[in-house]
Amino acid sequence: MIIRGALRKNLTPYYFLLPALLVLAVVILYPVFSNLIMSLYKVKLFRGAGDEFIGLTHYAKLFGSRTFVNSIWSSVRFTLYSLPVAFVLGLGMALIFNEIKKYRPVFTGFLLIPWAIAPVVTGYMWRWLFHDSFGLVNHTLLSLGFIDANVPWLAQPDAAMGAVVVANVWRFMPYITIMLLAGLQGVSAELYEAAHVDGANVFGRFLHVTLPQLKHVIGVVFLFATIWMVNDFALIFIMTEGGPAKATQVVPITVYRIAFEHLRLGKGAAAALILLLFLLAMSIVFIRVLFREERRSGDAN
Amino acid sequence: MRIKTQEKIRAYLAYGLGSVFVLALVMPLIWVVTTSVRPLSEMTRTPPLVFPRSLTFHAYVEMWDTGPFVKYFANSMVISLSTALIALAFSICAAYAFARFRFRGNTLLLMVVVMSQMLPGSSILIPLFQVIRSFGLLDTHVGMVLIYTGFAIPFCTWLLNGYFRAIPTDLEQAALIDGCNRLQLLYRIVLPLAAPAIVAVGTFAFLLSWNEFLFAFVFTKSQALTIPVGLRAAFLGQYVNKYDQLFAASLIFSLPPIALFVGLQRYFVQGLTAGAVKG
Repeated sequence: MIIRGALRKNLTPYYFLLPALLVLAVVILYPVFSNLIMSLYKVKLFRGAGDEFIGLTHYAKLFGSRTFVNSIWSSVRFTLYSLPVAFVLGLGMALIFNEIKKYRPVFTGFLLIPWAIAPVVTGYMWRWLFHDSFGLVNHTLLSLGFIDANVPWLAQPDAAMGAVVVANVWRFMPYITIMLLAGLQGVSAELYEAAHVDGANVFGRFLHVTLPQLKHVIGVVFLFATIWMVNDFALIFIMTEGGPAKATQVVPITVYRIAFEHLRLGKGAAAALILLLFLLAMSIVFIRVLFREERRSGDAN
Repeated sequence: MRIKTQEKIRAYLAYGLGSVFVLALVMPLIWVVTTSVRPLSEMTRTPPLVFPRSLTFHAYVEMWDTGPFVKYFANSMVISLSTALIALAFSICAAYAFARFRFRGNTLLLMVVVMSQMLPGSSILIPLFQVIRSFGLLDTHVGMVLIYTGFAIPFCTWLLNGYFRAIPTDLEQAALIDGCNRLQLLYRIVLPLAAPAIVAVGTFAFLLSWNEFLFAFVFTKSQALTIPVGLRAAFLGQYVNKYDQLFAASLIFSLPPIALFVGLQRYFVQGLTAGAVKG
């Protein structure tokens, strides 16, 4: 503690912080601020005269535009379909892996592969798997008798959404498993024994012992997974480019298109800010719920 | 006796189900690997063959002529290694300041760091484009390293801060009395003790830049083009889809991340789950 107190009025910590803060200021803090300002102006990529201040016009226009509102719904669908499936599969896998004691690193090693490879590679992989005539998905479904003819997965709006969701689940499930598996290590064996003595069966023990103890990890997993899924650009862009008929055009792809295809930077900035505010609001709600739960359990103890 | 058999059955069941799960998870990858080594006649075959009848490594040779892949790989390597080294150096200093000093603005600055970690990339894409353009750094290695360093610093600093705090300060106090200065303390005493965390954090920064797509796609054209963007540019024309070469290149590209992840999985799992499990 002396080491901390003795140098209280010293400039040393600021020297240590300077390089990192300088980079953060240029790459993150200034852009966040600048994005807010840009969203109130008409900014062209190749500007002649100065930018024109137009207030909240971009926001009004965006919420009136069918493309933008649809892209919000695409984002919501993409996330709401992916998250529960990835969570249930990830939890199942974590519970099974928790029983595996001896060769667990081998199993978790395989588990990490989808998480390690680039989203671009995952995108191409699933694009090829979902290929209508040469893909493994159609072949498997055909030979199992689930479908009668090849489905053109990436050419139909609903099927394409299904395809990107499957790819997304494949990518995120390992993260969820790893986190829950770590959480399961913290569940005390004594509680299980107590529940056993009380006559709780497997499901009772899972519901009343395992789940409550995993609450915190589950909260963190949901928060991070949601943020990552809503932000995904590469996976969907590689698989469908947002199509067909904009069915999979999620908000980040719309932001990219407004700014770098229609060259309207101000409007793109407004769309990006809406995305940021949505995620911020969601994070606050998540964190509040998490902390309230904690306070309650603290009171109970 | 009964309990023992029950336990055995339970273990066998876990290994069985676990293997099925892992196999299902890895199946798409197997399909892609076998795609990269099958002749064209077997690739465009209906129904498709899961395992090819004949092997060819044609795609692994031809891919180098399809696009300037040597250059893409070099770009990715230079940008990712530079990012890892710079982000590491900057984050170590920042984390040391947070872990060992009490100073004005301490909490606020740490909050800024933690918050920027959750910031969506697409929400700063447009202003960052303006920034990089005004510096004249579009399509340069320096520009990409700057961006990726900024993205890597928050997580690296946060993780290292936690790790440094867990290291007892006794040794440092002794060295301070012996006349070491702060920087010497950091690299003679703290760094050797924090080696596992530094390995994990460096790998994180390397992979972040190695796998990134959106910013590379928007900010580079040719000089600083990295492999994720290069894959798209080289192989998927409107009409010719050279999937065998695409996956040959993808697999070579995926080897460093897989090797790093699997080799360093202990550190990664620690890093990923740190803070989340025990609030």
